[in-house]
Amino acid sequence: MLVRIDPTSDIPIFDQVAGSIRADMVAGTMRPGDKLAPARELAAGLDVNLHTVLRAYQLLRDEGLVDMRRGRGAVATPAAGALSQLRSEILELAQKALALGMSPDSLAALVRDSLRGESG
Amino acid sequence: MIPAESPRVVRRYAITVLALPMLVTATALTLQFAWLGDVPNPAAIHWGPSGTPDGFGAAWTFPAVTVGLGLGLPLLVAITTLPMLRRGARGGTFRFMGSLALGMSAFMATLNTASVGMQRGLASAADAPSVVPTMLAAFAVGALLGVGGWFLQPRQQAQILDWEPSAGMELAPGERVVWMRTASMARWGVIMLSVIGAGMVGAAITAWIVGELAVAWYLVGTLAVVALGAAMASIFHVRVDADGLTAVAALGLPRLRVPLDDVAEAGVAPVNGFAEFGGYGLRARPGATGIVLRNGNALQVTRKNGRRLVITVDDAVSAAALLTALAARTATGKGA
Repeated sequence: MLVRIDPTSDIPIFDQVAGSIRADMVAGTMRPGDKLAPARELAAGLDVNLHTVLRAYQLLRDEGLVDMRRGRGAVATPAAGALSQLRSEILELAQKALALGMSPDSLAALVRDSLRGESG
Repeated sequence: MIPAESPRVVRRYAITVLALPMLVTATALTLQFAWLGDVPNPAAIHWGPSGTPDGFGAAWTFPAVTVGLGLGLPLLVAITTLPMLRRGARGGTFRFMGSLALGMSAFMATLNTASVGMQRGLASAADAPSVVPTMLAAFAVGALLGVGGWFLQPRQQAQILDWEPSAGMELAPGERVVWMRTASMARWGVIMLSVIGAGMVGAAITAWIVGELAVAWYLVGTLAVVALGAAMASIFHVRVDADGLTAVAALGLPRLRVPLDDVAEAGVAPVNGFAEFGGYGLRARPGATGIVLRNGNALQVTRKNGRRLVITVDDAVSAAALLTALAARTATGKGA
């Protein structure tokens, strides 16, 4: 798995970590049944607090993308595999938004709003 | 670019790994079939440690083994390596594998033909002389032809098939990135190891029940060594981060590391374990170290001194891109 964080960003680090892992699931490099790196090692590699990584893993667990079992560590669920269905649409959307000169944040806000409309 | 001597490399290799073993085997078979009628039935086909015959069977065993091993092994080597050479792969390993195949073929042909020859005209196979001088002679012939095969072929400048150095991924200043992945053995490798392990456990239990305690302990000891070896060389945790590339066996040892400032080039290229490293697991050959747990795409990293580290790990493209980018950032950071 590829995890990238930018300490200067306004987005909380644990959110960035979770986002990176979600991106791996969308890209298909993290498939159902794949183990996530041990939180301790990932924290050491990123030079962040262990609890930051654990919080990211818990967020993914709450979203149903990751299963956490004692002794087995964190494992990607079938729901993580379903995320890869979004891949081409996300790439297309991002490219169109880029062509329109939209900032990533405003695109994210638009997507969030549209989701609120769907569920409301 | 294809070097001018390349067709000669491939031609000489094909002669060593295919044509000569075929010639050797054909000669051996001609002699064996001419002599088979003069050999006692059953013939001596196995000799004990002291050199006296202790196993008897049909004389056609000799030509069968001559073909099966003497021709089968070179064929196996040729099938895996020749297509790679024809597509442009080069390396000392190919030269060595071809010579080894010829040597093995010559050894099997000499051993089996001489075993038939020395039993001609015997009334009973039990009178067959010791096989030890034959064995030594066969070994000498095998070594001679193996060395001959080595010098028959030209030197090969190492060249990897479909090698693509990574251009590196884009990194924001101050961005921290980690890539982690576990490289594990292909399914068939795990099955094979499990079968061997189960067989040894079964044999140890049988020996224990039968009362052969020494044999049981011997088997348990061997099993422990095999299990330790498998654990040390079948699962590796591979990581690319600010420390560079690290590959650690599941057991914690062995550990291989390439620091960022020692990375000359990183990329992805397919690897064939048998053809390029002579097998699987943690391998070393002149100019390269390999964690080769399957065939296919592998992370390939060249150090500043030219040595290469090959790791068969999934998503090697990301690993190579990150390693290249981090190495470049280290180099510019130091003003080099």
